[in-house]
Amino acid sequence: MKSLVAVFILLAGSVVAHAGELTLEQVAERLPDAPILRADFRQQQHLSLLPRPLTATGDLLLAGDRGLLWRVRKPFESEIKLIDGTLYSNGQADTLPGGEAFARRLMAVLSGDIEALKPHFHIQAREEGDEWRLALTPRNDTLSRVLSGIRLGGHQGPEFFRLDYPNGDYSVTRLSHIEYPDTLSDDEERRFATPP
Amino acid sequence: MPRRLERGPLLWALLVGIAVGACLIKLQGPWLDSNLLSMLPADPLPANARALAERHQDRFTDRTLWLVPADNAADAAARGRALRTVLTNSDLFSEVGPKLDPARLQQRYQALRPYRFQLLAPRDRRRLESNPQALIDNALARVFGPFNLSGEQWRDDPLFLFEHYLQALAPFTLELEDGLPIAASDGRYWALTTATVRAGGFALDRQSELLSVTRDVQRRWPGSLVTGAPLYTAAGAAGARREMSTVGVFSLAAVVTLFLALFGGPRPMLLALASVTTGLLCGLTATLWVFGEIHLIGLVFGAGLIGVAVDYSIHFFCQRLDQPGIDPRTLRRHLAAPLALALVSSVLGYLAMGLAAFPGLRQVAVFSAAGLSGAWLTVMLAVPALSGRAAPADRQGLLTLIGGWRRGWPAWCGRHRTVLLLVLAALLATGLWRLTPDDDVRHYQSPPAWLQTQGERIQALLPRGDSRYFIVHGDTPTQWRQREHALTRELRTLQDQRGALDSYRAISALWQPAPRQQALRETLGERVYRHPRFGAYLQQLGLGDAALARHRQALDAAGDSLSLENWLTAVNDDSLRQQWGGCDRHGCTSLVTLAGLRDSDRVAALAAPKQGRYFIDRAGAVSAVLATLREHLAWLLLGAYLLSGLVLTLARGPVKALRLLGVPALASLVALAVLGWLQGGFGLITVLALYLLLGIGIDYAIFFSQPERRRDAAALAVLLSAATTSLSFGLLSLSTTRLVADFGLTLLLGIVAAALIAPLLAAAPRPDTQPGARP
Repeated sequence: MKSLVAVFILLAGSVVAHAGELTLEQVAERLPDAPILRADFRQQQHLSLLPRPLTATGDLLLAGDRGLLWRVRKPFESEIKLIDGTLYSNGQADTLPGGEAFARRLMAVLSGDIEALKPHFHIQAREEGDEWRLALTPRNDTLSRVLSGIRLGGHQGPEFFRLDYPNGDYSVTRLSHIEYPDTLSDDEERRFATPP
Repeated sequence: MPRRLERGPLLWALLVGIAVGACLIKLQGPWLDSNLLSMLPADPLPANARALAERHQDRFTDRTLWLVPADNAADAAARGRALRTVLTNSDLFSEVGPKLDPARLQQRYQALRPYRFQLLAPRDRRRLESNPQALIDNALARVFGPFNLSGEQWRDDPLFLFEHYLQALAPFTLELEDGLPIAASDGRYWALTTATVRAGGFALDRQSELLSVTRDVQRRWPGSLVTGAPLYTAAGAAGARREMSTVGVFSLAAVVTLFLALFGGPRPMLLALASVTTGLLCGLTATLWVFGEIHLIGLVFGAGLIGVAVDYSIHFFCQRLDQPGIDPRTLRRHLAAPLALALVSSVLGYLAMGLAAFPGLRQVAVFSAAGLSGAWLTVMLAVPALSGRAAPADRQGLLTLIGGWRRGWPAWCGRHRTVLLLVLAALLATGLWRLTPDDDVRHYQSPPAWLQTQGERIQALLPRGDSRYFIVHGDTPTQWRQREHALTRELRTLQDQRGALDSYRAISALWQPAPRQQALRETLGERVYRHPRFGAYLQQLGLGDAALARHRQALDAAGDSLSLENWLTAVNDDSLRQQWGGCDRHGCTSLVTLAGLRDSDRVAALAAPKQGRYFIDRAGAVSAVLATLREHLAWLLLGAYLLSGLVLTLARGPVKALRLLGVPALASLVALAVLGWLQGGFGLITVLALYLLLGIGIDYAIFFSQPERRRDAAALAVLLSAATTSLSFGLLSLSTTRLVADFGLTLLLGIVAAALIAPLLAAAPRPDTQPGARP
């Protein structure tokens, strides 16, 4: 009976949780209420196609209303900017993979914006040690064709997220040196300025 | 009763019978056209390009767009389904959709995949030419970027070029929920539905049904949004109908009341109604038979014609009032000449309007000429015989009163001539100076506020294409492609350098002919896949020679080219297919759609009809056409005055003709001057009102120019006519639609002026006048 209830709750977008699990509200309470996220990242992509995982390190800056700056330092330098729904690769306008909706969702994952994710995913929350964990399963067909699930977790804001693909490929991104500043530095403002 | 008297009513009955029959035949099919655009001349386009333009236009004119909101995508989809059931059951729509298969994009991917080395997004094509290394660098940025990748897709498309191409094919895609497209904004989810109204959806009963379905939907799903040309048309037609029936009803009510009060007994009233009805019937029948259908503007003008058509019967009965003992046949003989003159001069004036190269106005001309003739024939044929032998009510007191005004008013004006002339001159000069042309088409329809608001909200939720577009035509497929390609190059320059537009969509940007596809594959091999930079790229990702060999093999294996038809089938996108007009003996045509037009002048300047490049802006063209038309009509109005003047000169000599014509002319000037003072716009509709005023003014003038002994009755007729018509047009001037208000106001002012001027000019006292001749 208990598991039936759990399934029902899961399907209904699960707000209430089992004993030992967290509610989405509890997770939301832990999330920092900050407009800006500054962090270093280490991204590992495990593709069956490749003999070894692809590893990239760099730093990122997410400013809610402005967009996302993603700067790779290793294995070589490159920069992707996502400003007002437009993608710029190395300073030039480029095609946005998956469209604007996908970009919005990615930013919601990075900032742990549960409200923005809820409509698109069935979300299950739980606690592991003193970290929260969310498991996201796409609700709609369009998304589930390309993505089988997302997992993310952290103490406060998200510190890692993992994307799983239908063919078994997956990627894990870990954040470190996380800061939640109130304002952007001058240099960051400049980087957010739309490239000509 | 002598047989001679019987012939008239019989002839009239025959006429009415034929008109009713002929009208009924035509009313079987769709007969009313309320599309403002259809009264305009067609664009000058090559034959096959026109079909393409019309097909594209129909997408705008027949389609409605509905959005139902919910707090999550699943609920929105459920509501969207329920809405679709409601719309389908209403039987108003030929197509309710869109029915999108979530697998559609997957199918497109599979269908185009074999050709992926020949199909590049325009941007990648340019990069391949100018800086192929950028393709590699961007691919690396993408691989290590925030979006990650799925190995499945990457296996076929290591540089993401195919991903870019597919994205360029569908720059704006809504996500599907349960097969329904869902737009998300501010935490709300909107299920999208489009519904195409059935052919003939413009019929009146259908329009009101459409509005009531809309009301039901909005009541059931609060916050739902709807837009689309059919709704604007329906709402506009509903408003126009409401206002026109107001005028019609009030005109008729005024006629009925005044006739009952003045002439006693229902007979004169019924005969006047018979005359007006016959007139409208003849006008409608003639228009339907000549043009196959009638435009709303024809009906609007027709309703206004009631005021002119009733003049003939008013005049007949007023004269009868004045000469109670007279035999109706004798009276008809007396009146035949002046009424015929009034008719001919008005009809000629209206027919002059028909010379305008404008389908809508030719209808108005035919409607008016046939309508007035019908009303006149009724008064000549049927009214005298049917008006009965009973003596009319005794109104000598009223006639004496009117007679007093008729003689006193010119005398008073004569005494204050200097002051009056000065005031008039000042009023005319300043008023006319203040008058400014105003041809903004938006004044021609004032959609209800709710429709406007919803349209704007939808615009904010969904990026929608502009209604303006280019048509490109070439004599051969090659010429077509070169021309379209040249156009897109210039569009891109405007887009990149000046931000004149957000985007455009052109077939030639996404598909190239076979030789170019092959050349592109060659270049791609030479500069990328066979170039050391590609091997280096794969190595950076940890892939070895095996992968390199596999990609080069795939490139070699791809051999076939994709024909345009096969490409359209593979892409399977309705709107792209709609952009291709095909090739026939007239050549090839296509359509280039635009979005986010900010500097339309600059974009429009790219048009070059000699190079088969046409910029189509129907809404903008309307304003321009209306302005040209207003000028044409103003010249034709002068022509109408000349024609009427010619008829009047032949009948009465040049001096009297000038005096008679002076009545409508001066009344028109006064109306325009006052309009200038009231800040009214001077547009097409004002000129149309001046046409009606010409007819009305000539009627008044001719009535007054009769022998002195009949002038008291004439004055009564003029005042009666002015009272009924100015009442109904006065009501129009309160309309919220600027167009209708201007029309009503011009006529109200003009009629009052004409009634006051007529006794001064047309009936100026002559030496043989004997004041106080009335016993």
